[in-house]
Amino acid sequence: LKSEKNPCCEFFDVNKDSNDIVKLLQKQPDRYFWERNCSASILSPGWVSSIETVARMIFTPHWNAIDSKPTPNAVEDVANKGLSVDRLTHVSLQYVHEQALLAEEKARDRPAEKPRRLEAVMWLRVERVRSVRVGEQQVFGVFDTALPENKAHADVCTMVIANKQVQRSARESLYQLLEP
Amino acid sequence: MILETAVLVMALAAPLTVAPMVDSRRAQVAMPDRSGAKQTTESLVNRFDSDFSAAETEVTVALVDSDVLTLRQLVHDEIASYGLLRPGWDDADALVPDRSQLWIVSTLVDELSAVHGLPKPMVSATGSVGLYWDFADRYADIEVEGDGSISVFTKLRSAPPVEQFEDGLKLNTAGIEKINCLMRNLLN
Repeated sequence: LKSEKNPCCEFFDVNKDSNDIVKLLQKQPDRYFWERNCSASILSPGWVSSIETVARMIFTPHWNAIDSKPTPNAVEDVANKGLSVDRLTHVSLQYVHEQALLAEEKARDRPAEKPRRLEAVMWLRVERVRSVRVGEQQVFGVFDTALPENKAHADVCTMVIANKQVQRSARESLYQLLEP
Repeated sequence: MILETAVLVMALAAPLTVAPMVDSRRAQVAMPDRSGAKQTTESLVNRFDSDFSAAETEVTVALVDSDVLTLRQLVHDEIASYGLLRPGWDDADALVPDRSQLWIVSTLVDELSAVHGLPKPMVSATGSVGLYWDFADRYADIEVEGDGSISVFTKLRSAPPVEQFEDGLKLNTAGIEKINCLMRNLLN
């Protein structure tokens, strides 16, 4: 389903600026069907296949300089506004790098005396992301939330209704899947 | 001679990428004094990661700018630097931790590192500040919310994994004992 009228597309369009879009998504009974069968944006080149790999930019302070690894909070957006990633099947590494540098420039404009630097671009394999379970339930969904300026944009969202413990467990699971 | 000194200093600094954490604009949050570091020459990163119960984590690091800091001090510096974040630092709604949260987290570093090894710090756009230990077979994290309440999550990465969670703790004797108990369970 790729038309403008598909309910998944409408949901993400209406709620695109909400920092609670993940919690709103968890209230949608068809969210699991949407994730595998509907595009989340009319600009999308197609829903996200499980064989895809996506890239996630890591900025300070979500970076531990002592061991040169991200902190678990590098994936915290997965529980609220959706974790922004780039689909590597629809974008070149060169483009990801350029976007990362642009994002760093944008981050510098934000109010902070602590400088924000781009530290790394990490990979997530979609199949592994979708394979995380709580009981029988799939924890994460990957939605093709293409943007006018970036058609390869996608969001990883927590789909299972999560109390605090499940949220922490989910964060740790996704954090463990980040690859350099 | 100058060149030799520079090479020696760079070689000492090479195992760690610590320089970016040593911002000349150090955070102005008042933190407890933590002087009195020991000197060793063992591999810093390996020791940092190797033992969950390592108590000897106070290792001196030679930096290019000739500062001498301990890993523990680096953790405290990073926590203090979160005080330099401003509202909207991540997105327009991003919150910042307050001084009392930073103090609680910094105190937890001192209270817990001797028994459980030195944790790593983290900050959230929700305004919480935390610590975590991440090893191949086990993981633990602690979060301090804006009201000072503390929550702990631990995971034994076995098959099946074993998880524990506790929240609503405070920085007092009972709270520290509960955290210690959950962390000890990870090892048993």
